[in-house]
Amino acid sequence: MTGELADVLERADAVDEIVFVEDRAEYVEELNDADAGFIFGNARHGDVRQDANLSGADVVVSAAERTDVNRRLLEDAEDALTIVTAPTEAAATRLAEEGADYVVVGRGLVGAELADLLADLDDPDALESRLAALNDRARSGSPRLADEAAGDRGIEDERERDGGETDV
Amino acid sequence: MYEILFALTLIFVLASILLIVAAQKGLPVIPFYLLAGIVAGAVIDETELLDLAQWGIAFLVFLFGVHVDFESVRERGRISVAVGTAQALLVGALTFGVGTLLGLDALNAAYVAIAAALSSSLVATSYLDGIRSARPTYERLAESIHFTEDVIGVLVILGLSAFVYAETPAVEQFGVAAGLLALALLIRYVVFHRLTAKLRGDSEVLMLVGISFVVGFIALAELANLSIIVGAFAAGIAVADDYPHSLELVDTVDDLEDFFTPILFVTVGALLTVPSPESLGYTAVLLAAVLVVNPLFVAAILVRSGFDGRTAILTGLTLDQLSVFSLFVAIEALAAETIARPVFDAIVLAAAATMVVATYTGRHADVIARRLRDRGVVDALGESVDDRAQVADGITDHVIVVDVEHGGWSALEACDALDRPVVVIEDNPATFETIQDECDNYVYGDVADERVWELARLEEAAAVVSLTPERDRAEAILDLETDVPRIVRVEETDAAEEFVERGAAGAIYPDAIAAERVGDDLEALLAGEISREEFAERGRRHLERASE
Repeated sequence: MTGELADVLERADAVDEIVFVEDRAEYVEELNDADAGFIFGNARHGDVRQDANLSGADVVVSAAERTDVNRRLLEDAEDALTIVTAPTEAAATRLAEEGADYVVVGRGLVGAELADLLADLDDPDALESRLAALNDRARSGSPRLADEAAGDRGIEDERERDGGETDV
Repeated sequence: MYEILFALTLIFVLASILLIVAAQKGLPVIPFYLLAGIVAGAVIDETELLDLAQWGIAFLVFLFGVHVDFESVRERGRISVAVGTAQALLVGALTFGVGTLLGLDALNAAYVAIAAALSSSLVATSYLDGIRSARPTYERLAESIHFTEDVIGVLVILGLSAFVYAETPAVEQFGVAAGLLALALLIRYVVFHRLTAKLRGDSEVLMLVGISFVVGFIALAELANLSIIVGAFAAGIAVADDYPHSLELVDTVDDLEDFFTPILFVTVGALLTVPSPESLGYTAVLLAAVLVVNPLFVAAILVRSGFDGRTAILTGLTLDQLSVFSLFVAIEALAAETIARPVFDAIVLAAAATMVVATYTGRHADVIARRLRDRGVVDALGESVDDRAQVADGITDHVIVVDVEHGGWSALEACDALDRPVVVIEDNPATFETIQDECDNYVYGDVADERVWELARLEEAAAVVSLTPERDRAEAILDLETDVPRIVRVEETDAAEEFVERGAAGAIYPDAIAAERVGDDLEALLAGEISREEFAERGRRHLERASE
């Protein structure tokens, strides 16, 4: 999700610089090769948050499942537009109360998608088309890649991450 | 001093070398730690090894205490306390009897019984993912059963200290230990927040606070003639694992785990000796109890308490290793010269063997559970699906939803609006209670069980929607011999590719769906089509949908 939103921000020319924070070794090479800035580490550490200059960020996107990390990001980036993930509805409510602009709870979005899908169950052509789109997205991990077949900037796979933290 | 420093240096050098090999080959690290220990054991003196093992265990118990989730334990407390206590008492009594029959005196038979009865959360939790949002039922059950057994472990150590190692029985030690725990709780709920508020963000000082806690409580325990384990456990309880301390202090002291975990496993390897025939006999008893009796007994109780076979087997499999508390008991007994050497050697050998086996079963628990079902073991444990199912006669063209809690409620609403019947399949008892209240058709059970699908009338269904985040359950649904279209949730793009090739009509990848929906909203915001307030409002609507 973080890579996808970074694309959106870049295309809209909405920010001067994009910085990824990631602590999983398998993404290091890919992120090092990308045009965006990259900090190897975990946002749970104060020095990593400081290096990412959270207090000066315009937008913060976090895919961290740890609610305490997201709470601290919200505190550190008080004025930024914040999009954070939450593992449960209770955590999501907490994050929204603490100032997150947009809290992503996977199951809510899955539910919405399913409701649309089931509405087409009696229409084989519509169902097939919807399933094909669903599968393309799942295979590529990125809706916009599936739609546009774009050869972006080499950080596409980074979108597959879950649990890492990314500041934009 | 030189001896300890030499031992530590050797342990870390050997562990590092073998760890690199393990990492390169993608193999589990525990067998390599044990192997490093076998090499180190040829050089390091046993006295140093025993000291290091005790300190390694004490610090890991401290970290265990830090992470005790009282809320989670309270949620599943009754069943977990009952299962953990019943298993420990029954297996303990059984192996005590076997030990006596093998000619051991009462105390040594008790050491064998303790080793057989208790399982370790410290090893098991390395397989349980603590922060994942969609934690399966078996993980939550296992966590609280392990907590029960760890508390029993602390009580056993306390009891031995008061009645066996003390020159005269010292019942007052229980009072002193209770006082130490009360002090820890007082610090946790009254002093800790005030103390850390003044030190916010200074990780070095916070690390020192954490170490001071554990060293201070251990010193208090020693002063009161209690085992250092009691002090370490109390120190862990004293540290509150909630925000913001979870970030500032707990994560800092967690780094200690990376230091003490290798010490524990390597010292276990180093303490291994070539076993005598007598020792091998005791080891066989311990392995039979820990690897076979404990998992099956726990699984049987859980099945008869209403859990499905898969949850029961997976929970039981987390109990297939010797507890570090048992290891600590054996080391203390060796120091007190109250344990027979063959019994000590057997406990160390069984600890090492079960650590290796647990590494395997932890990785392949789902495969083991399916094989046990195929071979009729789950049925033999007493699983019954029919009495927890309600499906309307003659239901057709329905949608079968598996694991409704992961986004399925919206699907149910959509089906309701479309007048399409739904059958829900569930294996989480807590969710199942809600399902019984909210849904007309449901089956409680394991998706690997053919009877579950018969009851759900799979062949008459229009579609199956599986929202389970557990890969083995999604695979079981894909393996069904049916033409009914199946839409399954996946957790990664590779799985999506594979599942579609294996016959899934659709692959739901929550991350991609989230990226698209949030990306659309962000694009609209950046294009000026919506305000920041409307952007936040859209986020709230998704949240409300998730909460429904």
